[in-house]
Amino acid sequence: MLLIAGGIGVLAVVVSMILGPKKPSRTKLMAYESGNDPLPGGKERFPVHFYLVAMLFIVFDIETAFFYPIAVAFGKLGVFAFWETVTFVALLLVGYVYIVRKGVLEWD
Amino acid sequence: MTPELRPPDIALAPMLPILIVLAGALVATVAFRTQRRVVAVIAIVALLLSGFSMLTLWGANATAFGGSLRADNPALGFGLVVIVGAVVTLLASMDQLPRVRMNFPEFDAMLLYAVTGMLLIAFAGDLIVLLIGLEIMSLAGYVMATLYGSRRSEESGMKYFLLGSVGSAILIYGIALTFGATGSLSLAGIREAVSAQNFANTPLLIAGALMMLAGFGFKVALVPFHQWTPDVYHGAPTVVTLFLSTVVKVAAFAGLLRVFGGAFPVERAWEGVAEVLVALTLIVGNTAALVQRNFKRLLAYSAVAHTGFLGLALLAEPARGGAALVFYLLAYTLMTAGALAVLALIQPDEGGVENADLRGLYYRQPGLALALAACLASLAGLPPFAGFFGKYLVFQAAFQAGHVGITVLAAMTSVVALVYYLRPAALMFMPAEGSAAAVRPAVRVGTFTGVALGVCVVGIVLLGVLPGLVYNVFDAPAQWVLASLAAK
Amino acid sequence: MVGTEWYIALSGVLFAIGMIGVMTRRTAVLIFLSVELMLNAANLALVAFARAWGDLTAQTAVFIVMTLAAAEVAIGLAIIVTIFRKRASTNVDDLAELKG
Repeated sequence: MLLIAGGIGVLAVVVSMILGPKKPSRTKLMAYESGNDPLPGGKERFPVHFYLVAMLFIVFDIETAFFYPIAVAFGKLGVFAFWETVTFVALLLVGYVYIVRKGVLEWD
Repeated sequence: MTPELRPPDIALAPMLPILIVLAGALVATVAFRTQRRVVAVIAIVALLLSGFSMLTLWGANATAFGGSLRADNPALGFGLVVIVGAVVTLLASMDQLPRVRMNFPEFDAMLLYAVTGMLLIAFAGDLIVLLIGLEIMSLAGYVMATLYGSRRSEESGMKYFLLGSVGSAILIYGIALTFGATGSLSLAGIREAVSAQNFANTPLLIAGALMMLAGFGFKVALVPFHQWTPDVYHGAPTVVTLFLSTVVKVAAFAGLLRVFGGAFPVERAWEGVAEVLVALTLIVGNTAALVQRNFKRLLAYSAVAHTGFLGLALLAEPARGGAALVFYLLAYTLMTAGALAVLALIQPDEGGVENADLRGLYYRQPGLALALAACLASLAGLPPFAGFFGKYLVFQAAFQAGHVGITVLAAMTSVVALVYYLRPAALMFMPAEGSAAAVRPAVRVGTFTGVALGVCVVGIVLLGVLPGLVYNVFDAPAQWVLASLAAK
Repeated sequence: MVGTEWYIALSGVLFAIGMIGVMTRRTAVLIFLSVELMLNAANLALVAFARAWGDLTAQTAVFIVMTLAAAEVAIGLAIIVTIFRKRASTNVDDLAELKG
């Protein structure tokens, strides 16, 4: 049953694809942007700054993945885990200092 | 399901060597208004302190985090070889980097991060720690290969990065499969599960082991996975090549020995495959080196060939092969570092020199030529130098483990090696005729490079004359058995 | 309940797709994407095995692999961007200055 139903659906699409008339024109091939003429080029270059910030975001964003388990289990972990977390943040901070001093976050 | 939370056993002592290097790396990262020379000196001091702290840990068999980090003698041995290589790199870089306008403290920071990762690999008692170390090392390595902004350097960095990350991915999948088969990520746990035949699924275990072998193969340049090696070593700045071809290989071999000597001792299905890979490495590395015209590229292929020789030691039982491996790694580090340090001095640009341009070097730079000749002779495995005993020890280890065929093959390929090492060595002593322009007329050897070369040459000769000095320290089979089970 | 072997089969397929991608794609970014796919295949396998063994160590390993992947992305993108700035192409076949 399912096969027949699916088969008919596929058949309809395939047959119309093979047999249907095709008259491509410039307007038809244009990307559809709600009736407006599409803006030229999707291949503009972005300033490298975007990449830099994106990279930094990825790195600092992932670090939060470690904080969730810590937060959940914090009550049971005790003092050691606290200092371990502080160390972790301190190491991240070194990276942050480096970024700031290199002027990556200055947009001009 | 609430798993029981156990406070980890925290012991700072076995972590100390790693922490010192890490602290040095952090200082180098935030050292902004400091001259690079100062940063490099700080880095060297950090490395020496770390080495010293390793000496104090000697024989203590200290562990931390329930065996995830273990500072047993093999770990310390590999760690010390890493430190030697890194210090030589830094010394050579002091005079070299200003010349190629790469004189910024990030180099030292990256080098120290890489060394942190390497020490983690050497000290790893657990596949996760091993993986973290391997990645820290590799990521720092990719950056170092790219740091010098030439097209060649960037190309080399990109190739290194793409193939290195593929290798890491395969390795991680191997780790996942190994965990699936044994239910443990610690080397001791895997060893226990494997030797008790207490694993769920043999094909899974073998697949995991082979994928880990492939992943490590990328890092040490075993043959089907070696394609990046010549390009990366040729394209990277020579000082970086020095670092990548010596220290990184030491650390990767430390990891290999930890996993394949420590964790999979009984289930040796991987051995047949490893034997084939080592044989291929020996053949391809040595024959490809034979046809190289560029001296830097020749040294790159020689690094591949030496992976083959080092691989022989892995085929033996770790109790035998381990000591041979440490000895060979130390010798290999010194002789390759020496050869590349001389190359860094005499090359007109970072592309290295053509073999033919070495002609007559002895008459312009007698000291450098003699140092290079010593390194090349040692690489070729000639008797008064360390390379000879290194080869002898690994051949012996593989032979006694019953790998007769491959030992014979290795002996044959080392005859081939003799040809390509001695050809440039002989050229240096031939009188120059006319076109020697490519080699800079006369270079002043800076103090630091001088010290680096001195360390290398003296080390090669000393290890060649008195190999027992190092070998006997490690030649106690008991210490190569993963000590975890006793400690547990 | 879905058995562990199905997860492993899926992760194997993902890994294979990644591997094929690495070998057939010619732009650095796509090769790199394929590598990420391989890493995630490993993550899936680790989580599945962790459940099968009732052992949480492998799940912590997943965290670490995720972080490694992020660090790799950062460095990989940095290298790709530097190269693109000079050559306006990230096709790996154009990287052919070093040969032999």
